[in-house]
Amino acid sequence: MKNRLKVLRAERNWSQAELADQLEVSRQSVNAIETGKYDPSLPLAFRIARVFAMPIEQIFSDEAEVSA
Amino acid sequence: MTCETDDLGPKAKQATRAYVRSMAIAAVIYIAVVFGAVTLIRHMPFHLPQWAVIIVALTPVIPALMMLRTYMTYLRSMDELHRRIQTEAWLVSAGAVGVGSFTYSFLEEWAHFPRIDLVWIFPALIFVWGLATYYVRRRYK
Repeated sequence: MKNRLKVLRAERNWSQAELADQLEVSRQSVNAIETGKYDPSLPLAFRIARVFAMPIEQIFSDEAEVSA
Repeated sequence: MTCETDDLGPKAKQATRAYVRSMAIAAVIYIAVVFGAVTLIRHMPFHLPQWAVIIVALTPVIPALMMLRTYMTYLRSMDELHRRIQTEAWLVSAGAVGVGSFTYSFLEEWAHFPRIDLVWIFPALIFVWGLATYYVRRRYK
């Protein structure tokens, strides 16, 4: 699964730690999601969407769908 | 074993402190219980009846269960990534120690390798879990 977390975070000038605080997760989790090493659960994906005030599908996209 | 506190999330410091404190208390109780049990069973001038020996021999399980409960509480305080890391590390540990002890039992039985007590299974699980946690965590960095 691909995501635009890093770009969206940079647009808001947030550090990984700041975003992690808002999401109530570790900084390592934010980093792992940004680098694609970890796909968040659906509840966490919804939290991320709420923090960025965007629909989930504008943040996350299915890799298979992207490459098709 | 604890994780790096700064990297665990906002609630991590408080949770880690509670974990370390509870583990330390359970460890002190464990040492006291084992010391008491050994004294009662091996060094007393009188012989305990078999049922009493069984009860005394089972007492170290109480602090061990306390440690397990403390760990489960700590696990639930982690975020989902760290819970996954822990789960994967336990799976590696269970697999390695399970297959290792299974294999060694054949060597013990048929190739007359030195006998190893069952009591070492639990420390082996914890040791391998500690190593596995380190390596699994690196995969998500």
